[in-house]
Amino acid sequence: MEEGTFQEWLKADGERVEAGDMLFVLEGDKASQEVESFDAGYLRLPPDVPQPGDAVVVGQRLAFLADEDDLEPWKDSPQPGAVPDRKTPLGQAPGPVTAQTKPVRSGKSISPRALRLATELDVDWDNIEGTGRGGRIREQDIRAAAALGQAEAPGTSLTGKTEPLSATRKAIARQMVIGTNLTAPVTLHREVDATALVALRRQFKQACDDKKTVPTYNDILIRLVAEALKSHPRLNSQWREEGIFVPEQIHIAFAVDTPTGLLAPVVSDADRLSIDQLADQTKALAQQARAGQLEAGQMRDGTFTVSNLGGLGVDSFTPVINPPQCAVLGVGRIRKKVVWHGEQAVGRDRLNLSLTFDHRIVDGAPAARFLDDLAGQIEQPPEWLTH
Amino acid sequence: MPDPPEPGDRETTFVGATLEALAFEMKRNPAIFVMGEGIGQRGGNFGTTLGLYEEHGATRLCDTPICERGFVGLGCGAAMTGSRPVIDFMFIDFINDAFGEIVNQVAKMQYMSSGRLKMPILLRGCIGVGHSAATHHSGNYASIYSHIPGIRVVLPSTPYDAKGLFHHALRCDDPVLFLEHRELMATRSCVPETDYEIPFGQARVAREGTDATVVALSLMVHHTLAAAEKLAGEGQSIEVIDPRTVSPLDFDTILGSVAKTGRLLVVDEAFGPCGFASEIAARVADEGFDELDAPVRRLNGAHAPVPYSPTLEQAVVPGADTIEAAIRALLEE
Repeated sequence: MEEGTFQEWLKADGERVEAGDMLFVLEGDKASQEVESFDAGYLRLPPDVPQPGDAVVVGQRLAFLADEDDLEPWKDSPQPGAVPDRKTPLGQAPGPVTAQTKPVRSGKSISPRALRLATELDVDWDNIEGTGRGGRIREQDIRAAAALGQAEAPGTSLTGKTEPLSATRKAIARQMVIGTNLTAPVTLHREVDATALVALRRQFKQACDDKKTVPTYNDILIRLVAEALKSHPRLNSQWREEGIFVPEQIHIAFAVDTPTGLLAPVVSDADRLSIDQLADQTKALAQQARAGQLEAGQMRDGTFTVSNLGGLGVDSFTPVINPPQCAVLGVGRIRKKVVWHGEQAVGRDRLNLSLTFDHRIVDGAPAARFLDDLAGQIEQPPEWLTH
Repeated sequence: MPDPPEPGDRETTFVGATLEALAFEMKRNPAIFVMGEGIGQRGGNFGTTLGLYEEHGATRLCDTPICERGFVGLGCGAAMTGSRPVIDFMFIDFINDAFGEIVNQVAKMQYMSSGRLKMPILLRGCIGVGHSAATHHSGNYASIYSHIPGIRVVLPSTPYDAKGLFHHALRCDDPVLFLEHRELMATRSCVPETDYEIPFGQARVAREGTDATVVALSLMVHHTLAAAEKLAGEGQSIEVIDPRTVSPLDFDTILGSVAKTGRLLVVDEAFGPCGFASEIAARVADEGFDELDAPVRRLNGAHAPVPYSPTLEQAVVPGADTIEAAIRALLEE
């Protein structure tokens, strides 16, 4: 996280604040969060205090914690640096939020001038290769990138209005650009027989009473993916400068379409859940996502993503990797098709799977073997699924 | 103070320009007198007082024995009590024999007297490496003396600037250290015959450019201009700034130029450590951090005594070639 949208103060100007009290609400990447005070004092809101909806950056001073004897009214414009030492600047977001979606930026260097210009021109320099010494990004690189981005802008006859970018939109954009440009994505497509899957789902439906959640196709697929990842840990890994990190956990993120944009809540330890537990969790998470109530922690640390557009009539697509994950499975719709069974043409339920993986971490053949294992599990669902 | 006039088309040398200013001011102001070794009948080792002895005589052109501390102290007392001494050190290296007088008395007296006493003393001499003058006659002391509050430090790079700054030095009430590069003494440029002043603390943009800023002092301005001219043939646009005075320093012009170019090289043939270039680098890093597109670079003379050997002598100071290489390296940052 680098930037968030300030939402509201939870304390008033001049109000006593104890360490641990919640101070303000910040809309970060994809989630709103109450931020707590690390110190005690009296909250002082300076004249330049951010207003609801203002963008604020990590490290920005939002307000002050003052001593009791320091509650006099603000002078017209406080000089930077003129603030007494005993006031503690506020506003640094707590660690977890910062760590959550920090883009992969290790080892990149950028000149102060280029950094300032990138901010001014709204150029995302994550994906720029610098031409300075040692790859340092410099002014000319930012200008070139900005010119490229605006190549079509001059002289346009189009009219319309510009929608401001929400924190969620920016976060999605950053993740997608990194997933596309800073990985080596390859997509494998495979059509699998889903006849048994359809039968299984029907079985779940019939077995369910009103109180229980019926597992969806997506739930079954998430559970099978989690199982297959146990034997293919590379697809569950992450690229890091120091090496390939193989998590011990299997946390599956799944894409949810919400009014504010795409969100990917995470089902933790999906390989250890029963299908019913998993169905309960995905249902609750999807509801929270649509209501805008997901917390940052519920979208953190996914190790693999499943994205299902089958419900929208899509046959197949090329999903984008959700960094720092290695792979994402795109799921299409299930269609009745005529297929050859030996010499006989028969009607079967068919399903398209598209696996996009980071070729830096895993090669095509092992990725295909993972897909093959998954296909086998779908075509003949294992018995443990129903127990 | 009126703006300095256009240079016109009359050429004169660097020494000739300051001599014109000195002659004019001595005629105008009877409080001015000159002290130094060989500045009387001889007219100065570099011709700095040529012809003045004949006009003003031995009282106002006072030859001294080799005793810098003594005659600087004398000059200090004279300045405090209403005269306007010009002390000509020939080679400025020997000003250091009078360091205590300058730092403890000359520089502080106005402050210690709450401004009741003035200190209109002009200390002049040649600086710089060249002509195999060897280590006792090749020094550059601008950084040392600009470290001290209460002294103006002036380093002209052209005859035109030298004349205007010399006039100003002889009309201001502060101690002025006027440093003339040995290798510039005989250089010529167009200089108006009339008297004019160039104020202290106003840098000159010697060449305009957009790709990098080079701040250079004294002789280095000329080497830098040569390097910039060569690079211009390759499409590189280099801005060259001549501060003209390092105390006071026109930092705004430097910062403004860095804001334009994003890149800064400071060239000074003096030693690097704790020097003028370090000061500029530190201030730009402090006040212009967000303007920088590359690290600030310094190019200094070697931190070593200056050798006699002509070949070695050239190797210890920046020249047009080394400046060009430094600019190229900066542009690649």
